Amino acid sequence: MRGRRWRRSVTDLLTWAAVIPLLAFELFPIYWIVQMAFKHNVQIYAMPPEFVFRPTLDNFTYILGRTQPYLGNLKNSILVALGTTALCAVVGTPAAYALSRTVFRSKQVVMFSILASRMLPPVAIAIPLFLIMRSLGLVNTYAGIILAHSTFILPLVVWIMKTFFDEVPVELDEAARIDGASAPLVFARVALPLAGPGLGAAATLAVIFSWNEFFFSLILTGAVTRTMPVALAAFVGAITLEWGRMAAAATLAIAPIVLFTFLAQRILIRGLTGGAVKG
Amino acid sequence: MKRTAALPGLGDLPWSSRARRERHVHLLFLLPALTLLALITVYPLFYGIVVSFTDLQLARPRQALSFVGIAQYVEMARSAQFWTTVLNTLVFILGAVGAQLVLGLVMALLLNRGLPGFALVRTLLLLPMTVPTVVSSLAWYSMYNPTYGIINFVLAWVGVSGAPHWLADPRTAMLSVILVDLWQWTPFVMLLLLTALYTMPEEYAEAAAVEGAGALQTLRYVTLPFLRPFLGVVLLFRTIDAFKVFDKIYVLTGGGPGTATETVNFFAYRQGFAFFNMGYASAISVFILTTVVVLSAMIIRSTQRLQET
Repeated sequence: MRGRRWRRSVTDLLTWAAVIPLLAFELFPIYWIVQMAFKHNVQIYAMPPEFVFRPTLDNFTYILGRTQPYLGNLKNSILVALGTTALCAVVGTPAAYALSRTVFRSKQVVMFSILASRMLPPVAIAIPLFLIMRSLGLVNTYAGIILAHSTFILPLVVWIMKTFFDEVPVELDEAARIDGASAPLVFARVALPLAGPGLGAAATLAVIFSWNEFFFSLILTGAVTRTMPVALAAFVGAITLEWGRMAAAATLAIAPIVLFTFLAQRILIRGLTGGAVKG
Repeated sequence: MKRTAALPGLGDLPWSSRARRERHVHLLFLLPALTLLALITVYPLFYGIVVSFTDLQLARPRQALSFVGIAQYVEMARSAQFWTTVLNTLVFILGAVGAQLVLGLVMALLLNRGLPGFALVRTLLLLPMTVPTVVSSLAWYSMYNPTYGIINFVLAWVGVSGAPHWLADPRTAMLSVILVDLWQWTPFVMLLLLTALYTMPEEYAEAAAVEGAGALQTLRYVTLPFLRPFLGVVLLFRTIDAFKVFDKIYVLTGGGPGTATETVNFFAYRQGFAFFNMGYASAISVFILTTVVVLSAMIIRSTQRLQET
């Protein structure tokens, strides 16, 4: 008996011995860019690298300064993420409810279109979308980029909300209908409050996806509407790369995501696979 | 009390007026989403196909679309650079996805042991996927720096001399981009397979143990066959995502040095937004779209099989 227990704790130890390096590998780059944000240039260029150092906030003061565009970029990212989420929630939630309650065999159709939109190469949409938006004067507007983000976030919101509405018993709807409530009222007063947590999860995911999106933003935003990822990518093109300032701006872009990752961890795998796999 | 007018239950049959009214209401609920998707997805897709048959160039002033038939597709098929980017894309997909499957499987099997603390490990492993790709690419960009980067410092420290300029050397550039993709998406493979492993009936492993199978034999004859359909799904998801890689190439190499890391997706982007050849860029995107549609059809078939089991 003692032998088996001893063997078990050895295997546990070996498991940790394999997991820890893998975890370190997966977290190191994030740690590395965040710590860089708190270093002066001299410390960044120091060889060997300094793991223990006196942190400075100079990079953040510079990035958030009035002469710099980054505060505006952050504001744009927030506006676009919230705008996209609001649009997709308002338009997508009733659609998800209808798909969950409808009598036709819509499941295959929905599943197909959701997965298709998850698979769609952005470049195939972005080029014509750019041409259309250019002729409508929507390039470099918030409306334009919000619509572009909705191309992949709306199907996602519909799918996630549908799975939550599916869990609300139809009998509750029917009971309300017998009491004389109209269909929109049943939706608003009965189903929606019960699927509330689902709306929260879908919104969190929508914010993450919009906040991180780079390709559409690169093509469709300009000086006024540029979002954080586009502004960050521009650091690489500069003649001298200001590592510390770049890292500070990057850290500002990461901070809300870390919070939202912990909030949305259960829904995340479902979102990343377009609902094909339940997390 | 009104319901007594009709036979009980009849109101729910599909041909009754109530069901029809219900259907109309549902259609109304669907309408805004369907309209929006038609305008921002379906219409642009078709418009893109139309543009691929024209020689639309953004550099020229406003012009009516002038059709050139399949000339753009012919040019694409004749372009050596196009085929280079197709080959680069294949190398990227095979390298990145292959390595992710192996490492992701190993991680999933490790975490499936469910030791205390592993729940937190799993949550932390979400971060590489949720942090903006631009940010993680910048982190790797700094780590790859030949003079100040931590990677070459560590290599020198352990005694490796003559470490390459990772991103600037055509021999190592693609490998470096693949490593970043491996880093970012291995947790995705791990999570999906881990979710699958949670659903594996315990009796399978127990039965194998009773038969006297060792750990490796159980893995070979019980766990891996069970995971096979899930591995198929992961493979297709990752293949399609790898096909669309853009952000990290934009930040890390810009497709270079030369065309060493230029994928077909990046090639389409450059034709459209660096050279303003919208007709040509559209033809390349239609090629990408067609490839992805074929792959998607495969993924949908395999997930349906998965849900049936």
